[in-house]
Amino acid sequence: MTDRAAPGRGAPDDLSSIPISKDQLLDWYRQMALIRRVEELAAKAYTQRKILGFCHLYIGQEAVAVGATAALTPEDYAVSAYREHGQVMAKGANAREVMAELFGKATGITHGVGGSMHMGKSEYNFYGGFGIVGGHVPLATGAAFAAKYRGDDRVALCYFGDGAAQQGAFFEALALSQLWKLPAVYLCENNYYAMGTSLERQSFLTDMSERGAGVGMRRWQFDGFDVQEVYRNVKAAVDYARSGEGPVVLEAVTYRYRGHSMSDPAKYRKDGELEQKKEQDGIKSAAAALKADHGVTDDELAEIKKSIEEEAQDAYRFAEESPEPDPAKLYDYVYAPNDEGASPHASPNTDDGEA
Amino acid sequence: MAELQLREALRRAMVEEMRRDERVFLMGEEVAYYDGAYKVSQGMLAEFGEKRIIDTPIAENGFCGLGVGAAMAGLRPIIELMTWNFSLVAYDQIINSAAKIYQMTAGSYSVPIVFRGANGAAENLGSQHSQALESIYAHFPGLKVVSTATPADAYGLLKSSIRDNNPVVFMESELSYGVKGEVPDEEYLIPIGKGEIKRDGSDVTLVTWNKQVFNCQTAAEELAKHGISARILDLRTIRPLDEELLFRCAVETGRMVVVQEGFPFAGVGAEIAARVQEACFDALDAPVLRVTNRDINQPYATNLEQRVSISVDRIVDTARTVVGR
Amino acid sequence: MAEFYEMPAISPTMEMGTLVEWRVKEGESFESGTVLAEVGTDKANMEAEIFDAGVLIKHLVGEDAEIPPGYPIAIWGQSADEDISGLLEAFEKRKAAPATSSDDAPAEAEEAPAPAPAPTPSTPTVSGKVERTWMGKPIHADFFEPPGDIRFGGGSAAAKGSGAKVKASPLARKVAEERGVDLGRVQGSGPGGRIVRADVESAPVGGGVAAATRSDETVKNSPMRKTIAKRLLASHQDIPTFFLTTSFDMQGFVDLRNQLKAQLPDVKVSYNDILIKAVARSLVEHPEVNASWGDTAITQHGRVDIGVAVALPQGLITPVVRSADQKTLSVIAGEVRELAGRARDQKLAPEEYTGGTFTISNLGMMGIEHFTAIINPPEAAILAVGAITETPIIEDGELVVQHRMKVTMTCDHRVIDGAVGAGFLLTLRRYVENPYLLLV
Repeated sequence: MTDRAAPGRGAPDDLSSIPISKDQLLDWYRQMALIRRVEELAAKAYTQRKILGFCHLYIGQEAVAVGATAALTPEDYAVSAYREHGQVMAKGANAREVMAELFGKATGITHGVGGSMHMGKSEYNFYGGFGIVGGHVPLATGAAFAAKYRGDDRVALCYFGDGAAQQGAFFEALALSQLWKLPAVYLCENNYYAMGTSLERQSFLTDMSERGAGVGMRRWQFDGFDVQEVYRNVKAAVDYARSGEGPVVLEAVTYRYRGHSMSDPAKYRKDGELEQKKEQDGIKSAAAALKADHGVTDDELAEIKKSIEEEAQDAYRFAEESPEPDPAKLYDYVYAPNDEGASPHASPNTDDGEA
Repeated sequence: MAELQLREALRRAMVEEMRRDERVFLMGEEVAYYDGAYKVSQGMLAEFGEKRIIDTPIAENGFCGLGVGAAMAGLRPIIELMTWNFSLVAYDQIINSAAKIYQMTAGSYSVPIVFRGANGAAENLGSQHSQALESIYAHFPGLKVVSTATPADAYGLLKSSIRDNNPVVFMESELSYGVKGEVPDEEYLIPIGKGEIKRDGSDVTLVTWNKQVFNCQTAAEELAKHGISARILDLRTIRPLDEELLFRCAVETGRMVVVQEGFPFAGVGAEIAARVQEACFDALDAPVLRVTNRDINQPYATNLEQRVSISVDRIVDTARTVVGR
Repeated sequence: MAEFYEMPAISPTMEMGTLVEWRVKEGESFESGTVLAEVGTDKANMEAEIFDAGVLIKHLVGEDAEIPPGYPIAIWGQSADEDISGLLEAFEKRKAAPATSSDDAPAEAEEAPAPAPAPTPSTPTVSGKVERTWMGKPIHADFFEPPGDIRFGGGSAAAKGSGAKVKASPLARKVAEERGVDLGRVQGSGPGGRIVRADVESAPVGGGVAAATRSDETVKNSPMRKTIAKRLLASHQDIPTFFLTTSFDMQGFVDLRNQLKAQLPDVKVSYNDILIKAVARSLVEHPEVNASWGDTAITQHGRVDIGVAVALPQGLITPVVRSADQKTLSVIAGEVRELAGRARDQKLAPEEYTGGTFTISNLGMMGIEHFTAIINPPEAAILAVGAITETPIIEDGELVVQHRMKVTMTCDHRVIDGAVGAGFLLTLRRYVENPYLLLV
């Protein structure tokens, strides 16, 4: 038996021809700045014990969520793990519902039941929000399976970290996707630390996109600090998957500025490493590109900064003032309701046809 | 009325549901081209094709998680586990994903999935292939757990499980796939969460499910010779438990024996005994006793395996102990 | 608008932070993410960051200060010369008062008013489950009673065992059986009216008399009690006793006492006082009764010292009236009163209650008609005196009512024989029924 021809490694050559308009870049700049500011206020709230439990911040990685989501349609699925605040916001959540969820309030995106790690909402086609490292990846495979099953041209984007790429579930998900040519893009945000363990102490290979080699999947790696780079690379992968050619596994090289979570002071970093990484900061590079390539002025950028500051502070206030979840509703979320009086002879396909 | 084997009844349920609703598909090891490891899905590939009857590699965590993700996207997967022993590598997907997504998303996503497969011991298969795992699934809120005995029950309950908008763990039995039983010709559903009295009696209730129902039927005949009228309560669903029927039997007969395949420690029998004594303490004339596998991993040799497994004699002896004659 | 910067809870478990070093000086400006100070926590030295941009106006605590999370440690604002007087005042108040981290920082309060109170039901119930109680405490189990329409005790359960129709715990049934309690008559205090052990223990036993639920009490033996026990046990065991009972016509005593009361109202003489005199005079004439046994010889005492039994709360004592035969009634009366008083106050000297030659014990005032007393060794006899009662008797063939009094003399048979004792009692009768003879 001869091996089938694997798609191999490497990005398409024509990435730079993917256009990006000024309005798109402005929008991404604003999104990234808002995400960062919301995460900073979340850090502040955490130190004031208004947010409790786990809180994994996205500061430093904003370009990945914003650029990648820009490559998706609203109908496409996104699935993430627990460092998800930026990703759910990019996919459509507003700052208020994210902050209120962190504060554990009834107005949160999952009504205070989920918390920082569980922010799934079907209106945004964002599954969540999962706490078992690597366990969420097969769920994204399932979303891609459903898209292919129905033939509806949707794609599933799965965010995962370098730590998750060591988990068995991750391998199985990739293997199944490639075997069945599912429309999935697996995007590793490689920030080089799984909690406190740096990548080379966890994995022999340090480019997680190479995980695709074992299952014959298309794969490549790119710079995750620049939002335009992220957008182009993910767009190429999403288009490939959407065309039916098969899934892609990508790695975005990035960095988180803070510890793994609010409990981690991140003392395992080398001296100077953080400052060095910050020079590539995605928000700074977007601002520079706006000024250099699109003639945006400092004043315009300051206006945006001011606007997101207000939005973030508003979200904070909203979260503080919102009520706690109602305990009487606690048992509402154990079982989904079943259709009342469904006749065994009626078919849902004729009744309302909704999928 | 037709006499169907259990495997035929299960097949009939799946085929009808797949014809009825195109969102339903079957996925698992050997379900398609092999016609099913136990021939439950025989003929289904021919009818529905590769798109809807899907063979998987041996990657339970992967394809159980895939099923959950597909259910969240609106499909209605039936995921077959060749036996429930193999579900343990996918336990994370069933417990941490399927059982919890509805609550974690505050109802935004539901998971209308059925995980089904053979549960409990066959013969001489050794410890890793002989486990009855109702209790480790029934432990978790958010799941429904069904474990049936007869073809008629399996048919009606599998249909209900497929139509249920929640994750259902559906447990069959390898030794029972060939058991025949009367199944009505017309389509019907049996509600999840309702037990059935398979044999009425007044002196003691044998509470049981899955293949132990058959052992209890034999035991009841034996008990009748000792002048003991034994009632058999087939729970059919483990979670949610049919408390109403369970407590009614406790009160009406005053004595209860739980016949539960599987290990005794924290088994479903322990849960039943706890609930019955809490709610029906004053009606009990004797403590609730359990007949289970012995607290030891299943050995291979026949004489040893028989020693650790439930037998009709043990059921009869325990019932007589509780009745006092 | 200036505001407080509070010590952050950098480590979720920290209870105190030590301000190791200020990194930003007063007047210096900073950006979001700047480290204001290095803080020592329970885990390690951590960095206290600020997530806003501004100017640090004032340090509120110095290095090495130990601060709990939530306590203000600096004031910051948008410019170095903002007015911070209000904040400083609040801070001083905060320092003076016992602090809770939630009720200070007015600047915080202005920016973030307290959240609207969450709607909470007054009796928290989850998913509408009714809260059940037992013994006054709420039950949080889900399955404590079967659903309402399942009737308890239906069907063949009723035919099984005794008391099957009564809700009682197995332990209660066992105790009921042991104590002979009828469960049907017991009120149950358990859930749904179930009878529990405590109910059986406080229930009536068998037919009706309330079973005593008094617990036993132990009273330690006082020295007096021990002495009484020792002496009387010895007396009872060692002395061969017999009893002589007779009764007297007390009309003479009644008349004498009435006359004395009329003539000398201030001199209080009781019947017992007159009896003491009568017994004493009788003993003078019967020295063989006023005696003590000795292995080799019986001692017939020269003196007549009458011991009078006095009941005390803690026991019994016999103060002695010395030479009672020679004392007048008023003297005897006074002495007895005085001795009895001091006996009750436990102020008698040993020589005042020992060394008598004969004892009188009178329970007449307590309604006792007749009793036998135990000899007070080394005496040879003791006289037990009953009540004076109006008694019908036949005299000269006629039924008359007289004041009569029974006495019983316990005699040590080693010293006193029956006739001797009887002889003494005849003499006593002569004096009691003719008290004017006491004058002679």
